[in-house]
Amino acid sequence: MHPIIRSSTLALVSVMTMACEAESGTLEATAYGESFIEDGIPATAFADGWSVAFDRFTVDVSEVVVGSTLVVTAASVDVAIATGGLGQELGEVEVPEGRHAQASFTLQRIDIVGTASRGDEQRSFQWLLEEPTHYHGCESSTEVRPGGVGRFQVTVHADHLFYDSVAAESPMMRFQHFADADANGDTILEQGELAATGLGALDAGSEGHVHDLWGWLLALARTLGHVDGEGHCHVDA
Amino acid sequence: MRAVCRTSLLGAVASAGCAQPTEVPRVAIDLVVDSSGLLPVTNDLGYLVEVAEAELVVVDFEFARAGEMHTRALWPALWDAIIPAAYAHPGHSQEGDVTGELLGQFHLQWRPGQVQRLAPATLLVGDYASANFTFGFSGPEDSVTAGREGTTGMVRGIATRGGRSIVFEAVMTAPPDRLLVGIPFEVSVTLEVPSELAFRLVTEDPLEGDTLFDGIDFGALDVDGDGVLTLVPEASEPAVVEAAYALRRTLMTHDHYEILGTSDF
Repeated sequence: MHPIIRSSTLALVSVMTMACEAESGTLEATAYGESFIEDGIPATAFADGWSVAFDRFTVDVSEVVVGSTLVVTAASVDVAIATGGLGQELGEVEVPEGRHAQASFTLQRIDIVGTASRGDEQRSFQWLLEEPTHYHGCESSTEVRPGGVGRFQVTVHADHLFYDSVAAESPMMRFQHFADADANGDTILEQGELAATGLGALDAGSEGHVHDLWGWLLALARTLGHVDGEGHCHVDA
Repeated sequence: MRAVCRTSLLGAVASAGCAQPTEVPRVAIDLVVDSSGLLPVTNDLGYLVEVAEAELVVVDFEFARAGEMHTRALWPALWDAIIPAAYAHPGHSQEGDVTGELLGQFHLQWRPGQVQRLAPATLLVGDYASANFTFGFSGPEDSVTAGREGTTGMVRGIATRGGRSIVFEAVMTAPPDRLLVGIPFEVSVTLEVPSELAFRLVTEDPLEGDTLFDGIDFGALDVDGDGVLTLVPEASEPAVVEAAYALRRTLMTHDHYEILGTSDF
């Protein structure tokens, strides 16, 4: 090959390579529990005067797919640790530049340790929610610029755990029904106590099929997963 | 019957394309309160329960061509899940294209052997899957609920087990703006049929076999032993309160309602 042609070819390949490199960026996935988990839920948010603080709120997240890209296979993070609004990193991957619309993920397991307080009253709880929920068709659009970083967030809405209805558009937050389930008076709300307690005035929705407080908690836990703040997803059984 | 009906025009559905848009035909079909679903049932605690009458105040029926029951039919194995194929957020579970309606507030009364005619519902022709309505509240002008203003529903009957009978009355009040979605309504509506729509309260869920009164231990709740039991949330006995709320929850699910197409009345 003629030297001039050879060098021109190399230059062209080099330019093409640079162009290809410039057409990708990084897509980063995080999990964030918002102020309600990192700082706790104040009494002003509850209709019955209780407040809740979380010592641990560990979420096991798997199969995070943004657009058509698998970003995270599996990760476990404690979203109760303060991050100043950044959230806990789940993973990242190189992706083509552009908008990556829709997302899906699974919350495999949620481990919650916390305390509820109202005046002199206190209840502690350690709840292990081990029923996986797959969220799909999430309302998300993550833009990745060439050489830049686009961020997708799994947002955990802990306030849903304390809703008094799965049917109302604007349910109230209450804790009293959980507090009243402390049958042995040790101030610790155990799974067995919740399973032995009826739902009272709680509204289980048009589908029903929930008959005790532990089932209620599991039902509400399925509504925790959101994306990019307030983006909604669909859930499967 | 108190039926404050409003007129409303359903949005026209037109087929978009190169040809002239074609409006889907609509029909007016009487909605009838059908008491034939109030059969004697034995609940999970062995009580034979016979309903003497039931009432419900509802607002604005909607009829949907596809929705939750469609999902149920396709994926019966998934139906036991708590929130199937729904938005992961409370209050976001309504699905289906609403192409029929009967607007207004209605005081429904089910009494064995009786039929109550409401008003014509307006539906576009098509295959329907489910229906919805919003729970209402009785007003001072409701003669049947005199003295119970502001309540949503009532069930009266008698429960018998081991030779002991308890006459009961349960009164329920729904949360404000409570929408009930997914009532089975698997009816093909054409220009000719059905001639009427029968709205039934069923004491036994035809799909799952559970009864309206499962979990209610009538004898244990009748603590004074007088054979009369009133299930209201204001009761002094916690177990009676819980039973009143349990029955309310059941009445607020779609399991014990159905709407059939018929020409029998």
